Amino acid sequence: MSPIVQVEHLGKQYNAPNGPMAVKDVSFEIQKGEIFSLLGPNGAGKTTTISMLSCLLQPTSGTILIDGHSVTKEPKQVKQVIGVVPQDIALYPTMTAQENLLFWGKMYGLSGKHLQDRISKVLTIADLADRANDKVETFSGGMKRRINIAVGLLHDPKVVYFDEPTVGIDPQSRRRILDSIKQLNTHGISVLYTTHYMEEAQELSHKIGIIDHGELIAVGSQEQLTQLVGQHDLVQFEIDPTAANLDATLSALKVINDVDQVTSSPEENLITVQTRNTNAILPQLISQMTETGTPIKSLTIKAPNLESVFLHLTGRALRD
Amino acid sequence: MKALTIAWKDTLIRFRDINALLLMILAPLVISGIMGAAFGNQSATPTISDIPLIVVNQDQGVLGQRFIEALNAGELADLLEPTIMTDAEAAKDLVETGEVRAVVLIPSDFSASLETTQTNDAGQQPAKIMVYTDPAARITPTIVRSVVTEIANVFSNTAIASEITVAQIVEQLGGNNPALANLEPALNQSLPSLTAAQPSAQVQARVISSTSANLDPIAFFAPSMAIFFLMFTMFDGTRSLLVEQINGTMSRLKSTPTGIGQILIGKLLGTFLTGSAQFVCLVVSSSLIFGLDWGDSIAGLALMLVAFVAAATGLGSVITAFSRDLPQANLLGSMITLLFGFLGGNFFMIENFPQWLQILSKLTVNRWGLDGFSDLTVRGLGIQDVFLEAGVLLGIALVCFTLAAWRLPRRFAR
Repeated sequence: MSPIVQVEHLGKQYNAPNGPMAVKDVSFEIQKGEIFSLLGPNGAGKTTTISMLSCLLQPTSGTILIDGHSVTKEPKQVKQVIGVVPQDIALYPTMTAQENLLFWGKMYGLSGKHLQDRISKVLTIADLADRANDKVETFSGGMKRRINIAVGLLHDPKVVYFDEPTVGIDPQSRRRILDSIKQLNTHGISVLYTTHYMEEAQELSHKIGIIDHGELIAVGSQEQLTQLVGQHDLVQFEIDPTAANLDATLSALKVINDVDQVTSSPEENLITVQTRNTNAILPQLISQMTETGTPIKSLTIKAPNLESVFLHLTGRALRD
Repeated sequence: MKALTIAWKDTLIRFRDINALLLMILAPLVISGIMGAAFGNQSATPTISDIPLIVVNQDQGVLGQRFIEALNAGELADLLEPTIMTDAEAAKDLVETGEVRAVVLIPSDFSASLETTQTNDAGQQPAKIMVYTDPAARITPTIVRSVVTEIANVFSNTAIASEITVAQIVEQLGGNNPALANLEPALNQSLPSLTAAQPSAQVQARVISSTSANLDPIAFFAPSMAIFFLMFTMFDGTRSLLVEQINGTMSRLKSTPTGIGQILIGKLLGTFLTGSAQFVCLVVSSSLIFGLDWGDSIAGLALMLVAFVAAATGLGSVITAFSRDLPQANLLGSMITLLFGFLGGNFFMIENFPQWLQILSKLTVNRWGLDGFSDLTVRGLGIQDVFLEAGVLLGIALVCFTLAAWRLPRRFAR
């Protein structure tokens, strides 16, 4: 299987030569028919990377080939084979869904019956055929997201980039979007998906690239990535928000034998402990938290997953 | 083709926006109506006096001098401020530079013609008093022409002249013109005193550049407000480039196989189309609601429309191209719209401005637009008479689009 996307040593420096490096030496491949997720926290460089792959930003270094075409030398050919679903709702709200699709279809060079057929098809995919003649401004957030996706599919692209398409929408709409991406993939469309939701990356992806501070720190299937962590579980405590001495609790947990990492997320009232010997140290963890005045509201033990991988590789929780 | 699609999309969006329609169509009509009604009330409006004009007397006899005395008689002396010159060409130059409103040229055969006509020589050509007027001014040249015409009539026929009433003159000038508030007492006093002393003779007074005068205030304010609010539309249209950038649709457009040149041309063309449609709506509406006559020259109106909308679009594109961000473009656009509106004479008669301000006003597209549209509507001139104004506006458009073509692709390409 030949790659539809080839990225080699990609770099982007804003305001060169002294500006910050938003993307540093990133390399990965997406095979035809594959769903590849770029997983990382906000500000990790996901959108910058996708912008360079969409011919919207000029790379500072490295090469990108899409279906064999260079994004810098053959942008027009590249744009014919990619579909872009931006993070923002990039639509005209006072136009109807049908009018928006008609306009964007023409921008992709479609016309006539072929365009009408494609509009009908993507409206069906978006499950919005019955709202085609309603103005987009009357749609819910989830419906807008789905039309936003439909626009990216109009010209039947070989690879579609989804830039955090589920941000800020309700669980039902998120489920529809994830299902429609999987459905697309069954038709052979390759997908580049960026997200900071570990669960989405796990559910969708054939391959995952973990990106942080502009660097791709690990690439592989979910199984390959979790192997990096070994048999480390994540023990997650939901704590009382009134906990008096969180710092003392964290310090006390870190010195317990077999504890590898301890992180906290005060906004979510979570303390996460990474350990390879959960059963043995669990009583100590609970007693230390009690002694340091941090009441426990609930406790979750997670087998190694992408969050463990991120914690293992960066020393930080994915949501930090 | 994609540029046309973008242009049509923008026009559609604009004309679906109720708030935009209020600003584009309703506001100029309402304000024109209010201003027209307000300035139609003479007692509440300012008056005109001391209109500067030059009289060149080439007459070999004595009647030329009498004519000059008539211009200075009674309260006409307050209305007119004639200066005597001998060099006709130099006098015309002063009109062209806008330093005086009009030149009255009394021909060398003025007295002879009157005397010959008095002896009933049928072969004698009537004397022609020439009046050269500043094409940039609208009210005062009309007053000068009317006064000169009426005095010439007095010279030509005492019997007729003795029946001249001020009402006739005022009627000629358009009864509702606020600028004529002090003309009536001036002529009432001056004309009767002339009639007794003049010989009875046939004189044809011919006025150069004379046209039918239509000085309904609506005829001034409707084009003025159309121009003023058109500027808002033009600036808003070009600013939509920045709005698309903020909303993410610009990035999406650029991610399609559509060149940045096509995108920018489409956006500017959309602004142009919107402005043109707005102006056509205003012309039709003001004709239907106020019965305003936009002149006989459809071609002239079309030329001025294209030229003005192009110039305003060009100006808007330059503001967008060189503004740091949308708030700055909004601020600059509003400032320029208001400044040009006031300076360009959209709210006040330009001839009431001091001389230096009148010259300064020619830096605005509003002034050139107003002059052109006034030529067509107030003076009823044809397309050939607005070539200068249209040419200047198209020149401004060319310069602006050149600057924008240099800057905009750099700004929006990456």
